[in-house]
Amino acid sequence: MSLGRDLVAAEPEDWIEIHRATRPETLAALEDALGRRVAAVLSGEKVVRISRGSQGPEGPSRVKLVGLSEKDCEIFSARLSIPAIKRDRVPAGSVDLRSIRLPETVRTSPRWAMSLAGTTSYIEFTTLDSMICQRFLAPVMGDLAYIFSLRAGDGPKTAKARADRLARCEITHRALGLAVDPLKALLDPNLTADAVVTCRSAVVAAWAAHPQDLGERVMALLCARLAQAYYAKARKDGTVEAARVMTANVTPVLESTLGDWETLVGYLGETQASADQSPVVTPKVTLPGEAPSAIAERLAVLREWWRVYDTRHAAQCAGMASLKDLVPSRWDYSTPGQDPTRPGGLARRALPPDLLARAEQLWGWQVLPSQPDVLVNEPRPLGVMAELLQPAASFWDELSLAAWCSCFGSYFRYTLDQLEDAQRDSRDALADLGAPVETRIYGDLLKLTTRYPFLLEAEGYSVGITFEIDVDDVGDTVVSSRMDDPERRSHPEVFEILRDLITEYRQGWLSEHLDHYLEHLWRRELTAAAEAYWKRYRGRGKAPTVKQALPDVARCAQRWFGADHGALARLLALDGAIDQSPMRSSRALPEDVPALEHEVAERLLEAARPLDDESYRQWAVARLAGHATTVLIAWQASGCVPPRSSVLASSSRQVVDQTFGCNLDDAYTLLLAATHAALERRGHPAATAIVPNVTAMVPGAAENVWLDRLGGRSKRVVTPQQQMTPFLLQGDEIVDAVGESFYQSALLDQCRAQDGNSVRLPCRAQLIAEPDNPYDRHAVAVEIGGQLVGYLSRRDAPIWQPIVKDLADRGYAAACEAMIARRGPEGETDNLGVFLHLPTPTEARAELALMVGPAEPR
Amino acid sequence: VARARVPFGQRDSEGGGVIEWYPRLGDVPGVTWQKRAEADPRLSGAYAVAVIKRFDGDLGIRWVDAGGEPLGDEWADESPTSLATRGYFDAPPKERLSLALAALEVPGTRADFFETLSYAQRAVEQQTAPDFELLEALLQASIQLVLRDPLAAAGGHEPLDRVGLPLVDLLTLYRREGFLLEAADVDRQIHEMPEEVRPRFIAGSAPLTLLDALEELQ
Repeated sequence: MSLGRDLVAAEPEDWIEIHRATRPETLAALEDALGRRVAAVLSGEKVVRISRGSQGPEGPSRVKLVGLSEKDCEIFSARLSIPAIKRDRVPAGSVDLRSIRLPETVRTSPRWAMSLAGTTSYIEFTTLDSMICQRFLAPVMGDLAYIFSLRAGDGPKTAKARADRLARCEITHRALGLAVDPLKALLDPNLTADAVVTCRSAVVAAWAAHPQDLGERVMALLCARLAQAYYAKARKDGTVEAARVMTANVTPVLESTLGDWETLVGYLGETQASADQSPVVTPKVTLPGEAPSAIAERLAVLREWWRVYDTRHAAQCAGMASLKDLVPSRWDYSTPGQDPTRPGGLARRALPPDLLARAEQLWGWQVLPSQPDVLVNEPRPLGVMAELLQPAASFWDELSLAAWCSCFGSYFRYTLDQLEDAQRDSRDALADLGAPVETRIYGDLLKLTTRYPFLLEAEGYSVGITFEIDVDDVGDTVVSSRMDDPERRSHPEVFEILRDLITEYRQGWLSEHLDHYLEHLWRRELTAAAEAYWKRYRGRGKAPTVKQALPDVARCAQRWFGADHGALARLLALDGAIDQSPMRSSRALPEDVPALEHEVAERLLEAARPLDDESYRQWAVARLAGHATTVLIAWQASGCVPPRSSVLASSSRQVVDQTFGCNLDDAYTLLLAATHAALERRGHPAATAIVPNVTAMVPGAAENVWLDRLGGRSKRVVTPQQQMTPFLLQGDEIVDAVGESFYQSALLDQCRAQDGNSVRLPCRAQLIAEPDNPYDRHAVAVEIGGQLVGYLSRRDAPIWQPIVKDLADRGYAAACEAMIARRGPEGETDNLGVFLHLPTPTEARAELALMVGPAEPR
Repeated sequence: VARARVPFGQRDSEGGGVIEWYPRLGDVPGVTWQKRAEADPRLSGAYAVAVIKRFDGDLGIRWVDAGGEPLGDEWADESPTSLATRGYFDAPPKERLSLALAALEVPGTRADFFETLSYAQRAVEQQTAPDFELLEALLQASIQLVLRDPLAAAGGHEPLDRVGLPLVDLLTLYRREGFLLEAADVDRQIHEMPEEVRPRFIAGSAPLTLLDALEELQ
């Protein structure tokens, strides 16, 4: 067995011995320097100082290591390289400085150590000190200090991930020769604050008692992690290609420790994979002299789009609507067939119908990573096209919109004088694509701002307040004030000057550069796809599978070849399975996907709980309903329902919880149920495949509360409470029930009314406490004639539930006089409502108090 | 103008409600608060005096400082606590804490003290090395004010659920330090608050969830 395999199999305490036997001699100095730094941290010394960075208080901070000797600087600088500054951009990133500071803060202020240690910091990577923190101190201390983060609720959120992270924390302690026992005390959930402080201090005291050979141990730990990454991918003969191991996480660790791949393989006692020994020679990427027909067809649509864009902006004048949505966005949820008057619809509405149809046909396809051999529909074709319009479209849009907003008083994120700085990145990107923009335009704009200073005023509103002083009938002075309606700024003549100036520059750019720009765009994308593919090929030593190659080619194929990666591969002579074209799915989506999505949203809205913020509720429901398309496209690809995790990410948890009061799995079941119902109504074949797994939602629940709510049905089992003797709560307070819209059929049953008739039906209602209600533990249901017709509002329910429960405990069912009412055809709504006649809660409690002891039912 | 000291207590405001003043935060029933050494010593006690209003001849009150000099505008409704914190945002950052702490030692209503405690909290949080001991004391005093009478602490200012923020801040502080039992206790207090003043959003994991997670890991 190789030393590397010994290392992976050994206990963490033994890594140091194995490491000593195999490490290169050149590591010794680095280990010494590293040992001194880590020892200073663990001993609770002040080791880092943070100051303002080169970009001021809003930018990344600068970190300095206290007490770093010149000699150690030399040693570290031989191993760590500082990233170069590109285009005036200071390299920066987040580093867990809190963990580095914790030993010091626990020592100096044990009770508030976590708060004083701060949080993960955003720092400049412009100094050696910052690189030492990023590469060595933060990773090691982050693992050691996880025990503190765990109690604070930081880090992973699932039980398994927490256990894994804790195990890593223990392993790091054992590898560094630090005591593990103090950690266990901190896992006790019954610790008071004082006990936490004591346990925390004990952990840090154990860190301070670290062994002398700390530097070697830290290096052994880092090398053991490299070995674990290596053997996770290695074959039985111990070989693996560098490209398979050297991920973005592993590469920096290797560079900072053993240095390079060859040294790592030697350190582990393995031999190089044959692909690394004699790398596969891959052909040079060559592109055709002229755009092939698939690309030429798309270039023609893009040119036509630019013509439409230019015409619209050149003709823009006062009184017209803003053109801010003229450029489609990748995340524009205006799907084909959607009402074009809705926000975001301008991108579609502005295009001539034939151009729109061509764009939707050319970019209306995709392949899913899980089913790379099947072509399915792309729900947002204009979104794909939008990617090919950038960065030029956003560049010209910013200029035009800044001019429009400056003259007509709408908000825009930049004023005209800020554009030169703000557009630096876009200009660089355009220059890289061989289509530079003349910066003279900014000078010309500034000249106009001198002539019309209002152009630089960010606020576009003027507000006036009028005061009036008068004398009233008895001679007293009366002062009144009135705020005038805000006046929107309007300078059509100045806008026309700006518009013509920008149009002149834009048209100059379009005539001179658009062809180069588009040519560069497709050539650059095809070249990048081919190079990424061949890099993967060389790394593996053989052709990647289609699934493996898809990340390299899928985006380019979707943009230029209608998602046909085979056509792209054949054009670029990419060798391997990737040159097989995907087949169009035989399963067709419903013709009215947007309408179906809308119907799903309507159904989900019935299942959503009432919220104060109705617009948020509707947004959250629409967001969930939008996933119906994801489910349908997955069905189109595979014929099956996709797993919940591939549709609803865990980041949706909070929104789902707030809106539906359930977890992600239950929300997914709701979505599937609503989608199934909408498909079934259309008689679409997907309805047989897209069905909710009800038993997974509420195990064993025949009367499923979720589906019950979804359908707006009131299927309630008669409870013993409903068979109790009614206790009439009498009073003059009118209390509105809520949620009656879900129970209209039950209310219609009660009053036998026809739609549109005016109704006023006196009746008797029963109140039932629902402490197990999944939406609201204070819920009180309202029933009439044994049917659920609504609930008390969230404001009334907490007051009434204890009274209703108290009555039930004494053997009574709370009842009251009620009225089912509807205003008739002239009313705002056709729905029937329920109004309860109740005493005040105080009066009700007083009545209850008169019922001494466990009285027999009256 | 004849004037006399007015005992602290309730008084009908002009709007028909009741205004309740206390000589200092530490005198509010249910609030445990010791004067801090950091409080600006230049602000000393104040008291209300009864005066006859010049225009309508009604009996009104006016606030005067310990030396009997009027505070603020002649008929200002603001209490000495509010008047003292008027200059909070204009004061140099280093002086804001001592100003806010001093304002807790002069007469005010529950709402005035609640507001002033939030100023003091802000001043502590903006320190280079915040005094978390003091922060905890400030939050606890705010919570005592809120739990005893949330609507009085809100002083009629919308949104009402802002009075729950000190509980959220203390929960966050305790959770960050891993004081999960104490955090869970604050969490319970939050959930027992009347709905109209209960904070609507608490970021991060619930303390009970974290306690369960620890139980599971043991």
